[in-house]
Amino acid sequence: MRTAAGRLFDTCLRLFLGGLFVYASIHKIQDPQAFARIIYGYRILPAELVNAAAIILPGVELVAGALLIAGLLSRGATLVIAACLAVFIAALAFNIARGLEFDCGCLSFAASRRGAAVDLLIRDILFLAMAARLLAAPRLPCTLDRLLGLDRGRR
Amino acid sequence: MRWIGQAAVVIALGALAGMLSNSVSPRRIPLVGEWRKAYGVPSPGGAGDPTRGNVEIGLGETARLLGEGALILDARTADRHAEGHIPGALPVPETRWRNLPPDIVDAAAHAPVVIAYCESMECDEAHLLATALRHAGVGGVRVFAGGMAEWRAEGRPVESWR
Repeated sequence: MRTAAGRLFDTCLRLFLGGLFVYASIHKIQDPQAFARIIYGYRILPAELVNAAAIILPGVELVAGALLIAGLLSRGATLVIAACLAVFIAALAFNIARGLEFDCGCLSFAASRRGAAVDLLIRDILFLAMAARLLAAPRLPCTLDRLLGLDRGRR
Repeated sequence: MRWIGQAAVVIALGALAGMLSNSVSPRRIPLVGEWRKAYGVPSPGGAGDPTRGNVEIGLGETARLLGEGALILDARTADRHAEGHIPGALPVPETRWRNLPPDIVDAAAHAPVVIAYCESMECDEAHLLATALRHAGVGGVRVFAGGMAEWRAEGRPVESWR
């Protein structure tokens, strides 16, 4: 039997993580030019895929975040968010490790510099832990999924 | 399995949302960018691309135009400028090209040719400066695409305030 505090905690996590992804997507959606330049700066994707990633990724962040807030397809949205975070963590760690000077462009275009990249790496790992907690929870309370019978705790 | 199916739906909806929002953005980009050029500043292409509308030139052309009395403008930060710049270059850092002072516009308008440059092939400040000058009525500003990095790599003389 889960406690009321545990359910409240999971709901807070869900709203926070969803809100974070919606927030982080907005400035990227507003300026595809600048976001494409940031992805290019990571020097990971082949040149042909840079623009496609800059177009699609912010949309996926926005939709996953919004669905998680609404609690609709919340397990799928959490899975997508976890996958995004895993990709961000790998990309950040790879570039920090090889000593590349780059603009991580994670939450805003303003923050750059090397120390900032390490801070963001730590933050992303924390966010990934939150997503993992949401995936591990047997049931997510107060969601549209519950109302519609979409989340019966089955994987 | 159920969760993976849901995730696929989320990704498909997200990709659709991304493509829709990009297509109506004033700063929209094409599906494939101009990141691989034989010579020049790589860019995403599309609407509002700062590299559009400016002529990029190489080191040889830059040196030749300098010999003919071209005005050269350094679009990098004041610090970078002080550390070392192309001899004779005027510092026009971001704070100034965002709000061009009349003396710069005047000098540019009276020069036979104007060249802007920044740190390397990867920066777009020189293009932003050239665009700002065009909006201020000074067209035809050339951008030395290789910038300070190419200038140094070729062993050209560097002037420094330190």
